[in-house]
Amino acid sequence: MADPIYQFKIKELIPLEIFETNISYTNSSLFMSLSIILVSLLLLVSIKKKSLVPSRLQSVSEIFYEFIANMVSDNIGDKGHKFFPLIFTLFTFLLFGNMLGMLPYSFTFTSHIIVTFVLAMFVFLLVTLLGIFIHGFKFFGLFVPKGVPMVMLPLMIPIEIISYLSRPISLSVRLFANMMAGHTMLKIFAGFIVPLGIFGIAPLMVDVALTALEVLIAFLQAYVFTILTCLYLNEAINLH
Amino acid sequence: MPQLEIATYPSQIFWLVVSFVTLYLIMSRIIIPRISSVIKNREDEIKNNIYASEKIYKETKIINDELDKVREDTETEAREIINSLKETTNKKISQNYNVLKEKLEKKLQKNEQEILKNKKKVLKEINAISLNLSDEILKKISIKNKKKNKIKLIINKNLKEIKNDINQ
Repeated sequence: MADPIYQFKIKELIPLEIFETNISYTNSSLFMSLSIILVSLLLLVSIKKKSLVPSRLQSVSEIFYEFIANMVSDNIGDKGHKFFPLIFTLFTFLLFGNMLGMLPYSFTFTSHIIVTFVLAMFVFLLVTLLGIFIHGFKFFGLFVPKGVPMVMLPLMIPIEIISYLSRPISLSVRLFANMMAGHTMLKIFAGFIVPLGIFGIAPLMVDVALTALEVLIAFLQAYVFTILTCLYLNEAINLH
Repeated sequence: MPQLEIATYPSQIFWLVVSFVTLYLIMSRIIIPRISSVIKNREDEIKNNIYASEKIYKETKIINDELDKVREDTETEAREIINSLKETTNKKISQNYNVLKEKLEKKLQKNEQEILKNKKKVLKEINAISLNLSDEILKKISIKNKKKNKIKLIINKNLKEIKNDINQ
């Protein structure tokens, strides 16, 4: 039986090295490139005609646009307009990365902790710096929950700080773990199909069902990552 | 576990940053402006159409008001014309009536005068004629003069009575 972890293996496609650091073009890089090419092509082609009454194809980009625009305006408000391109990019990048990973023999770059961690860290640093830039020292009032008795504060403030600092970890692990677990499970069940012979129909059915679930999760995790980014940005901008 | 192979991290981070920045640039510079322009155009078009329909509605209202005004004006004008025509016709009728009345009265007077004249003439002549007639009758029946005078007196008396009757 094939190793279910093998699918996450990074393979060098084009060896590359700068400043004695290996930055080879790998299968992960390939699927990142594919994601951005596919999403760009899809949106560019669908918005090409710019018709007043949208065709089905044009509705695709408009639905993407309005989905993210609503998310930004609902969670951040008017001030979130500046971050719309970032949120849009984040969502489409993650969604296409996750969805491309659903194709057999493909690679899921979001199943690597380093990728999700870098993205989460980027969001975390952006939110923190933005908060300090906008509100100055007041931003740290975020760690003092409202309506809590003074006696509780010595306990609550460290908890709040820890939960704030663990945001990049929870954000990155949530996405990475979901993608990795799902793909591993698919692979494990797929590994049973051929050895079981005629009874292999059972794990096959499970795999079909799991694939449907994974498609849902692929969308859901991209959505969760994006909406949490929105919520964090909202805290930094509007400081509840 | 391939996720923990730290040797692959620099490459993944590098290509992630490259891909993400590329996608961000494509989205923010090309795709998002295009989609938002399409949506904005549609909203503008809808707004313009609503504005235009409101304008047309207002114009229709103005035209309707004008129409109503014109109708009212025409009605009052027509009423005035009818009234003035009535008045002039009434005037003419009364004028003609008066003229006719005068003419009739004149004619009546003239006729009455003529009648009166004829009456006088007749009354004047009636004496002589009746006397002549009595004479003739008396001649034929040959009555004596004495009686003649008596008869004449009776005739005159009767004549007077007749005259009085006529005059009355």
